Amino acid sequence: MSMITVENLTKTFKKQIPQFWLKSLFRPKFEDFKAVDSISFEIKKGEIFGLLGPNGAGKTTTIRMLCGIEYPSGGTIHIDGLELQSHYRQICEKFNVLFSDKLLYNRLTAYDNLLFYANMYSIGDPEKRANELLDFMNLMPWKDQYVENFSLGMRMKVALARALVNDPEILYLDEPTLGLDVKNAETIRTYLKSLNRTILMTTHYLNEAIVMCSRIGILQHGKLVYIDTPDNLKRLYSENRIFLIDTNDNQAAKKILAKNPYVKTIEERNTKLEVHLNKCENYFDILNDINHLKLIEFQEMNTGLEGLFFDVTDEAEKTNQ
Amino acid sequence: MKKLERFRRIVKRTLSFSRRELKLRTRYKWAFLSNTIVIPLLHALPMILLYWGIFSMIAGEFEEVNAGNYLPWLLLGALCYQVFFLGNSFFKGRFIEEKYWTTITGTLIAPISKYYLLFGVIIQLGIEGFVTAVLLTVLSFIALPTTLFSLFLLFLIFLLTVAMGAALGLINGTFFLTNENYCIFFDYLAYILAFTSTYSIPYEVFSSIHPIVAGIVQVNPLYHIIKLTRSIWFGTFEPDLLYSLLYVVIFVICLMIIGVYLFSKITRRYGVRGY
Repeated sequence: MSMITVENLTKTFKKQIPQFWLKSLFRPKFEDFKAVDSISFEIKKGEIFGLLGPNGAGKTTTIRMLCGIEYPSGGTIHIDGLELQSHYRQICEKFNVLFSDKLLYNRLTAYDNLLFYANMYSIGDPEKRANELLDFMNLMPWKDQYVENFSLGMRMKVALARALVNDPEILYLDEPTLGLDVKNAETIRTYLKSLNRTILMTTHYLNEAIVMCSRIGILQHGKLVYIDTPDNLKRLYSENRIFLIDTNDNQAAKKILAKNPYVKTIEERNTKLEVHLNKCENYFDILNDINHLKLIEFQEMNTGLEGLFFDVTDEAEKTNQ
Repeated sequence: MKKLERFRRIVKRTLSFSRRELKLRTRYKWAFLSNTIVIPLLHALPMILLYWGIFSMIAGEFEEVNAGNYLPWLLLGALCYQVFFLGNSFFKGRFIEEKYWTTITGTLIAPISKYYLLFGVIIQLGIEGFVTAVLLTVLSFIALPTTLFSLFLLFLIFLLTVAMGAALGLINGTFFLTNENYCIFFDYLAYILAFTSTYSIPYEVFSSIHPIVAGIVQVNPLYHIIKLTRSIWFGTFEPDLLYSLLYVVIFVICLMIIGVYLFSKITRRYGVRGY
């Protein structure tokens, strides 16, 4: 069953054109800038969906529209079968959002923050809920400390507790591990996976998306250029690996590698060989063929999954042009 | 039972806003005491002293101000003015902070009526402005004592003034969130309301300038609030006071409805800009 249905969602902002300041005071000129350009996707109940993309791709704007704090210029959003704009109050009870460590009052204590937000939702006992969440996040010893004194990791925990205050069916997470060290990021990821909620998360980290999400969408210049499962993404990755090889006899290496079924193309780059592989997950197969030659350099060009991310976004850019 | 539970929840949600505001304001306690007691008095004092001097010389020239009442007349005017500005400036200041703290989204996505926010803030401002109000009232009482019933009525007027200032401030704050350019109109409006409120200049002065100016004063709800306050204090009940009261009450109710409506609609439609 589809929990979130987004159809042709578009957001256009007015971007002011630089002008002589006096002219911009009386007759400012604007041009349209599409932050989100007609994107469509569906998220099933209990699914974790990841939105990836470079800065300015439209990830946060998409989440803001799904939260109802940014009005779409076009398209529709349905949450659990209800149209967002016309059933906003009803839908608000179902979701919550985590914008990094934002939405927290630094001048309030962790408990006061949670209590304030708990009072905003239809919760039987807000005080009990605030205490439960602090306990769940192991923040009880810091309950009465001001959030301004917390480390980023602790602030993220309070922010996550805030997002869980109404026990939401849907969680929107905007870069939930941004700026966190490896250990804290892993803790947050473990919490999120244990929740069993419908989650839409944005992240810069492809590895995180692959670990967390059941499907991944890649946004580029406001367009959803790729949407598939992490397995297919990984398969695509294994189909598109590029290595730079330098041996004591590159011509011989080229001849041998050309016969390998996994090798798609070989190009000469300066004095080295650029080898494009096809559906090869284990590059040792390639190295075995040339083990009688002296290997001077062996380097993966598209640095793992991140490289694939660049491939997908670059390809989308070329298509646009 | 269900109704009681609903009422309890409404009160709890409203008070959670008051509680949050008070906690935020009292995070730095000396700054809070200074901003709520010293600064309002410092604002009011020069005006009071100046007009004290003027009225001590020419008080008899005006119908409503005489040698016996000019001091409480001034103090009560200053009280209404300060309380109105406390309310009017609140939301703009709060939304500036919330915009840059990036916390405003939490309130916007909360599934609650935004009346809780307004009423919560009115209660908080009532508490915050109470000290200043008591100080000015005590000074007025020393200058010219009044009855306990008048003090009670004055308290109600005080709440009405806070509500009016807060509702107007909410409209201003809403525009501040979406487009700061529009705020200037509300700032101008607040100054016009203050200037034509007769808090320091008797109505006769305005009416002698031009009928249009007198008309502006007559439509100014702050003028009616100050007029009501002084009449209650001096015990000069006239038939047109009922009209003033009705006018102020309707104006405040309308302003609150418009304020909450605009806040809900405009922030949803145009979002928060500029952070």
